[in-house]
Amino acid sequence: MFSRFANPHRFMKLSSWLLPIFAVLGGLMLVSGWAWGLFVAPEEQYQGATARIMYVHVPAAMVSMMAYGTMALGSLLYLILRHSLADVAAKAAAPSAAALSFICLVTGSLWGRPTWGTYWVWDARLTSMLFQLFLILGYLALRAAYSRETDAARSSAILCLVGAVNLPIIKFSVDWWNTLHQPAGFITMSGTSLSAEFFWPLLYNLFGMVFVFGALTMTAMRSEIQKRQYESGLARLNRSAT
Amino acid sequence: MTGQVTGSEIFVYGSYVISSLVLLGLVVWVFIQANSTKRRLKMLEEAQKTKSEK
Repeated sequence: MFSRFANPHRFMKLSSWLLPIFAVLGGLMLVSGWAWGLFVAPEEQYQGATARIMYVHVPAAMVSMMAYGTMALGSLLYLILRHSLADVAAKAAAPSAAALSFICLVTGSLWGRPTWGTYWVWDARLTSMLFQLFLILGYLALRAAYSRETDAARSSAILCLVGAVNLPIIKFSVDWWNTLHQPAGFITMSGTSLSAEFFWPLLYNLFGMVFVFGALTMTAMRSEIQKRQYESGLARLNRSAT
Repeated sequence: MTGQVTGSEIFVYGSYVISSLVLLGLVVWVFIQANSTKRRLKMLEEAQKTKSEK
């Protein structure tokens, strides 16, 4: 079944009409969602205006983990099924995962200064998120170090899967250890601890970020497929010339 | 309100500005890569066509 859906030709066809929908929805939702968070949503009782950082920080954190999850799933499927589209998906999700992890860390730092009195503290949540950013940068560097795509795919898939152990650590770090970072409140097993005036703009921004990530990853996947078509076409042309 | 964090607007606006710049940079980089690949593939297809015509 996977092979039926993972056909590059079918993917190019499907993504050609899905991509504009994701791009338009993502762009509109993110711009309006940030305006909602900045100018319309109320200030928090204790944190005041600082809590508005939440509408950027939380979606960036959640979608960066989703992006790493996409990389890990793509890597696993590539190692098991040897399907190139799985590797393409993993590679395409990496730059967005890195950018979103960076946004999460910077906005978290800017949120920490007025509320905790410090930009950075080596607590479990912050450190594991920083480790995720380093893992993604390592993944990208490892891929760039190989000249053959198949070698790059195999090594980077193994690195990505080993690093996937960090995902539950990020998620549960606030429960497993005493951290300065507050525990999860947005989406938990028992619902949400946020009141509606904070919950809805946050959910809206989360969906906006998911659509932006989807559009960027699809664009990068299409580009990677075309790059591989170009490289194999060029090799064929060179072979026929000699 | 007592105990409320005040004077933090610079951190709030800073967060949004930095996030916008990073996201915008990523979007531009992805589209530049996509366009360059598309252009190279088109050139190759034209070269293949010219070769087969000969």
